Amino acid sequence: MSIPLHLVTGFLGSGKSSFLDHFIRTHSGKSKIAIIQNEFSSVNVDGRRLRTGAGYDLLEINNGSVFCVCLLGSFIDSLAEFAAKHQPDLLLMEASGLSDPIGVGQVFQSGKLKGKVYLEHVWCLVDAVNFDRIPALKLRFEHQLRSADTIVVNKADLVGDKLAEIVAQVKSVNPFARVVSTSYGVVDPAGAKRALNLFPQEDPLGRPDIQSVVIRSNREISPEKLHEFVARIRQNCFRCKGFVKLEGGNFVFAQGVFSDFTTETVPAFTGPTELVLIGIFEQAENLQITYDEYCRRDF
Amino acid sequence: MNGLQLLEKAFRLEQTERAPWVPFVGVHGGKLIGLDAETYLKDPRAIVEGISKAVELYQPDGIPVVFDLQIEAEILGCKLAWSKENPPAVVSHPLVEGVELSSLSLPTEQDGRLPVELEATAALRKKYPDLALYGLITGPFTLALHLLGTEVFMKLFEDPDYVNELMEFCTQVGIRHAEMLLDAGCDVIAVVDPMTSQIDPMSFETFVSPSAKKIFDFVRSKNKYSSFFVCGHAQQNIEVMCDCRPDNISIDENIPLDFVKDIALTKGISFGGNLKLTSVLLLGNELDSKKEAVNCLDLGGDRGFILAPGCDLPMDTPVENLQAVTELVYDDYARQVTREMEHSSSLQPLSLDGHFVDGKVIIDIITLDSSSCAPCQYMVEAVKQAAAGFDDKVAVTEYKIKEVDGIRMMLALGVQNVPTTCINGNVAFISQIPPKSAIVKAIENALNA
Repeated sequence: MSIPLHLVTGFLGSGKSSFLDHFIRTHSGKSKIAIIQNEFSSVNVDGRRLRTGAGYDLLEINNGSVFCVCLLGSFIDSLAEFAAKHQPDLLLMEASGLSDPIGVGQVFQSGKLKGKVYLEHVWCLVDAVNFDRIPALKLRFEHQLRSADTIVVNKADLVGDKLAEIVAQVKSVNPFARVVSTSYGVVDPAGAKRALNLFPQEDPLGRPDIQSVVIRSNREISPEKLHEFVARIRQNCFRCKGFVKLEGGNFVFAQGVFSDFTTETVPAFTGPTELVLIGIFEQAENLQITYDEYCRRDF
Repeated sequence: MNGLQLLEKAFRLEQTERAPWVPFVGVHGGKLIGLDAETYLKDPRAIVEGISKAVELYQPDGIPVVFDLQIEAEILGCKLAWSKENPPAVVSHPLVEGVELSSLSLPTEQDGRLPVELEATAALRKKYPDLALYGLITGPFTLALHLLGTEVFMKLFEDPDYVNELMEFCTQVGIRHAEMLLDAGCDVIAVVDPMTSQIDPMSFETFVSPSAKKIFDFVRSKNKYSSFFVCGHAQQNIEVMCDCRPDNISIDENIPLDFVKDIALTKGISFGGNLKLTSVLLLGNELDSKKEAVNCLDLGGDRGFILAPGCDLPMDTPVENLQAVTELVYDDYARQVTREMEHSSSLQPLSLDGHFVDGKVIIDIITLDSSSCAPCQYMVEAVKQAAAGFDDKVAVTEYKIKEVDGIRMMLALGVQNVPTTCINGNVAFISQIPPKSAIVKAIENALNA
């Protein structure tokens, strides 16, 4: 069975730890959850203390504050070993505020993790009080928002009437994510489950051999070639979602469930195509290379 | 022309006969000689051995001596967590733990692991006089983040004077470290500042540019070359990075190479990158790596471009993937073949229904094009001569991968190299031209099968 992994992103102080606490407590006794987090974050030391007693397995990773894509190699082995040993129903991975969530998603294409762990959902926590306090980080913040499936505007109780304005700003960056407002990281997991469920008639947790693939490309693609690429992978791909850079620097939000694939034009931004695919793919095919080829195909 | 001279030409934006190749071998060097990252990074003899192995396997024009952005931080009081497969991680930030900035002093040659790095540099300099040695220093903003933690982002607007003071200290640390590396024999100083990818151009110009300029001016004053490395989503900062006047900027897969090329060449500096680290070099195969390399080479061009991975190579990067890149760097024929294979992932194999006939031997030769590629021509001629004695019992067909159907046939037959001869769908001869007798024997075997 392939284990779904949820990434929890958000800048320092956005409430990732409270969110994890709540998630674990509401799942306690219902499903087996494992957490992956940075061993040395002081926030997590506090978080662990709070969670004493709640049943979950913990994989601590050693990436310090500078979490760089070049450090992901060794994470593959430790995650494969951990997943095999504990066989959780769900993996929750807390990404450092400085990390690149989609970059983390690339490791699940490794032969050691394919069909064992897949990226199912990205949560992004937003600190409603301080979300626009550091203009220098605006671009990074927007990237995190665009990578998210669900955006949790946290600490809503502290901003009063300004909440609607904050939610509107968040939605202007990513109109396609589910946005929920809350305090203390409390999100109704039942609602989340429905949103995540690929097969409504089945239990959302644990499906055989499902993989996730992250496509990241700086190349522009024509709308026709994008559709050709999607048509090629369609029979193996249950879901795809992300922002795609088209010819002329235009961007679309693309999403598809089985054969239903749609694109919607969005305002241009600086950044590459980032597309997450979930499905059962050919082991040998490197979809990143295939996508890049469709971008260049002239016949 | 040796590697150092070729790189110097690229730095000066002169046309190069081929792109210089600089694999960023860090702890991957440990992997090559069977050592874990910690043992490797603490032992100068291990570093010399690991880099020597990398030189032998990858035939680079330049190579970093050590890729570890924690050397300065460790000396300045940051605690490190060591790992077997990665460079160490900084896990404490002294300036938020009560240490005063004014109490920190600049490093000397005897501090921390500098003796290890400097000894390895001197030994490699002696051993490889023609190879460009890159000395890496932690960029001032990344070092500031090591010392102050993520507080540094808050302080950018809450206390800019303090950030400026901290950046000035980190700049002096960088200059001191660069001086030691140059004295030990490095040719190029790379200022590696990945954390600048987090900030916007205005903050970059305010806080990072003055520091970076000082370091690059210092390197220039020593008549050596400099490079500015960044990784992550730093596209917004490429222009301001170029304005800091390094001799080169090096980027990873997050930034389009052609975008960087346009800006860098307009600003009169060289550029490098940006082989995909995770999805291709680490997790892909040899053909993926070749395709990625040929794309970078074609985008980069022959003026001012240095082929390199996006960042420090993951320890477990397969050796054969890097050797595949090396083959492309040196072999124009391999580049041509890879270019023709460019679309192979997006094509369906040709159907083999009706392709084979009972009582007949079907020989398919996959070539680049026998009219323009000498090895392909000899292979086709040799097979045709050998087949001539069998009259119509044997059919020989050439499939050129310059044509779409040629590639589709190559996929259908599962052929990996060019030229390859298949007999009744089975790979019989790869690359090397067999003697006529061997071909005749293979045909007879097929007829009698």
